[in-house]
Amino acid sequence: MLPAVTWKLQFLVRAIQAMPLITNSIPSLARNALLFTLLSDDGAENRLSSIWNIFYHMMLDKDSLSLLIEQCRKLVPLAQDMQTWKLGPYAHIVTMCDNATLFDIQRFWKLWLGTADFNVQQTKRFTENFQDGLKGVRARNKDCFIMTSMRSAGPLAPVTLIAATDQFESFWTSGVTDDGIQAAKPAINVNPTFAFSASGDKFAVHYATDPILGFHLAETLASSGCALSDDESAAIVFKMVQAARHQFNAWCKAVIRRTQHKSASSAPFVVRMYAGEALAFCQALHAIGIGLQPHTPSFVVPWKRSVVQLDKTAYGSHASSPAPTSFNVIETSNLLDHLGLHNLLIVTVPLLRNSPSSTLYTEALLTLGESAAKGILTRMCGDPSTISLLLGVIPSGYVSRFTTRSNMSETFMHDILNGPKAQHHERLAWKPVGPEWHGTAELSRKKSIRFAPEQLAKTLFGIYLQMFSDENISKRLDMTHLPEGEMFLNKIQSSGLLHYTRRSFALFLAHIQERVWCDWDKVINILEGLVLGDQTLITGSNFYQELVCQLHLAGFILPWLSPTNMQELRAQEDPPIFRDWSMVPQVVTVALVVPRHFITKLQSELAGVRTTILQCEIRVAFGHDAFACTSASFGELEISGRGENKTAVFMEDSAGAHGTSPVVLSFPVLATTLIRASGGTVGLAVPSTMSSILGMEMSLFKAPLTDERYVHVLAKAPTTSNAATDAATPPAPLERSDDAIEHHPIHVEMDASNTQVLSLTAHVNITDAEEQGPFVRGCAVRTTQLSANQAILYVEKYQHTVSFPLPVDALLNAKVRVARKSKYVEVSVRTSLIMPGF
Amino acid sequence: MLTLGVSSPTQEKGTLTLPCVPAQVAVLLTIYRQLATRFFWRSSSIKKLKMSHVLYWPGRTFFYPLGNTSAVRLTENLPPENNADVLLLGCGDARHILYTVYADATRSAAGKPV
Repeated sequence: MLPAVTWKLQFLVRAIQAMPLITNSIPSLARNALLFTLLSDDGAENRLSSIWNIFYHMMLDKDSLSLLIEQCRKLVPLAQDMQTWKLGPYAHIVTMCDNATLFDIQRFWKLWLGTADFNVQQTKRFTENFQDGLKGVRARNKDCFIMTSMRSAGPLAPVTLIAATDQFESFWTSGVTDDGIQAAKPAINVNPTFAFSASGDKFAVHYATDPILGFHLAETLASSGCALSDDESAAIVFKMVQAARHQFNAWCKAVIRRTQHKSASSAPFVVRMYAGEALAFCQALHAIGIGLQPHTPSFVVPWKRSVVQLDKTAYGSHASSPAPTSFNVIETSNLLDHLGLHNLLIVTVPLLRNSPSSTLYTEALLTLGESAAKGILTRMCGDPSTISLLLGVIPSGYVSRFTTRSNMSETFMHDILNGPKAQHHERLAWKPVGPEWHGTAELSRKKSIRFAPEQLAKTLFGIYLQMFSDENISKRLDMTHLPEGEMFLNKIQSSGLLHYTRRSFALFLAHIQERVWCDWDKVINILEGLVLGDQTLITGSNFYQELVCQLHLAGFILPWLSPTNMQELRAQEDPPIFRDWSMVPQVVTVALVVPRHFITKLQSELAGVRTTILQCEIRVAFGHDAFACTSASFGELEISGRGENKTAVFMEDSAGAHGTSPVVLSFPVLATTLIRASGGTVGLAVPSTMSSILGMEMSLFKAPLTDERYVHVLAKAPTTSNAATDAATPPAPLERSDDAIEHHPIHVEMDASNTQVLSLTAHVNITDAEEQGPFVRGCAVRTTQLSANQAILYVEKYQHTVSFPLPVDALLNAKVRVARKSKYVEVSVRTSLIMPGF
Repeated sequence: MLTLGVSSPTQEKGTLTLPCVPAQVAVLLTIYRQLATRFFWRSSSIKKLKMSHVLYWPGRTFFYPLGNTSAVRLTENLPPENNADVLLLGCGDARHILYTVYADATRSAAGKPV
């Protein structure tokens, strides 16, 4: 029986909140780096109790605090610069990928160290602020069941229901954990590693934080014989904390042995740290992996103009100790909730090594779609087999039909509590789509599948419609008929798809173009027609110009966008903005300077709406083009030169959102768009979330295209004042190699709706002279199944192994087409991956 | 064909609450188990340019000092003789790394895969 108390369900995870800047993950990195340095010091095993306190207690006893402060006293001078760090005692275990990360981490170590020098009054204020923060979270979580830790208890989740809440409340009251064994030392000092964040010393610890969440509780609970009752709660809390502490100690001891080379394997163990936006970092690693310089064109984080510049000694072409740029395991936490599955996969899949053991993990917490279990289907924006074929990775559970990780206890708990299923923890292991690893690594460079252009274009169009389904007006209207509570949930759920820009789609196409052999010019041509003719996405045509621009930048050819056509249009229209230009490139950059006071008056409203998306737009007469793929930062632009030689240097305001500098936005745009819109305006707007505040156009600011106080049309995007290189600009089209086809890719035939794979066809040449004899004379040709992905083709006594990228049914449904004169066989099979009801 | 996207401004009512762009840190973990047997998957394309995600106004932030899911063993799918080059994106605390080292050490001690 559940206790009769007033309660509400609380989903305490990092899912729904405003956008944190990168800076809020830096204190976590600083804590992690501190942990590894503590573990690699001599005698670390004797200090594990204090180390637990430093990492899991918000309030510290005197001994633990002094260990923390002394460690910071050692670390701060070592982190002075890359050189001092590399010469220091910890460089063999903790290394930094770039100077900026070391600088950022040192900043937090300095802040923590600084608390040791606080005078009485400063300490009092610091402690009071922190305690107020704890109090605020306690008030927020009052009368809640804290269900988060049930995940750690797995099938014994019901046992933890009351104890988990008691433990959570106790932690947020005392700031410490209690296992009922350790003699309690008075913990009256604020743990500075919890106190500082991007918000300075303002309390920002997430209200779900609980030390036991990271550990495995089922084993302890199973052996304890604890039952679900109020009386047992205190005992269960002790058990849980004991389990967590015991596991932490055991794990740390393993790391200590490893770092101090006392383990059986004395091989090194290195943790490399990097602070920056995940997608940009992956792009940077990929660029280095294919032989470009460590100074990459990707911006470090949104709202900053600095670009990723990794340490040359680890990432340069002549690196003395090269760091990996490809991986056999990629763990992505629940980034897909925040960034979108495709945004994440198109940058991480190229970093995954081409081996059957390589694994890419994704985790989802937000529930999307009609049910929790089908959430991943919504995220994939299409049929799983098709999307996996195109992307080159497939969830292993989808192929094997089993998983060793159960989340049924969570579903069960939601069901018995009858709560809204806003969350569903689903961890997937993605594997490279076979059979490319049956051979050399080089094989992966070849295009392993092929499609008919029309089928591929229609398949891609289906994916486009799902990727931007938040723009589908009929879906929005459907939502208004739902009851209030359900509608709220649906809104959150549908918003899970609001990650994609037209650039995402263009990069998705560029990614699959690497794998798919097809007449891509034809595909793009058909696809463009489908997009233009579409009536379902209400803002589809508003983003058409951005889509074409991004397709062009991704290396796709659109015939009407040829330089000749463009020059003709320019001559015909003679737009004033290009009169000073001798040569106009196909893509230019528009920089828009928005004075801060236009933002300031709306800043509080912007902060009130938890997450606000911004986009740029160009308006002329009744025309309206929107640009969601926009770079933004706070600062000033210094302009010099004219025409195509006009340059803009960006001077960043370090105060960021809290300063007074203008917001500078820049986005790539087709020159043809500007030629047609030369009498129009450029603006900054909010797409759909704040209509009540901003009026009909939802515009924050707009200025005529020709007003050089605010708008600059540039051949090169703004550069930063301190960047050594600025390859981020101009946005030049990607070069594509479309090498002649040397092998026979598997032909993919789609079904009539162009959503599901109908059949896969392999082409086998009969090249052996001895075999050709009976083959030409008409010998029997048949197939049998070898493995899930493979068939054997028998030509009389000769055997050929035929591999397919997906599991197939080669036993009952294989069709063999024999071309005896041309000496080849085509084996056509159906995939055995059919999802019922999808 | 030259087309300019033309349609009236979109007006949609209601407010949406969106998930955030999360903790954005990466940790690259290199666990050398034995001699490196690496091969690199190289691609011929050059993907430069910027982020493909929508642009959010920088709003309120939370700090996640501790992870909110149980530790997992990152090397569970790797053969024991392989080195592990692991990329962790948005990883929060170090629990996965600690647990992976522990689980790998336990396996080595047992002398066979578990």
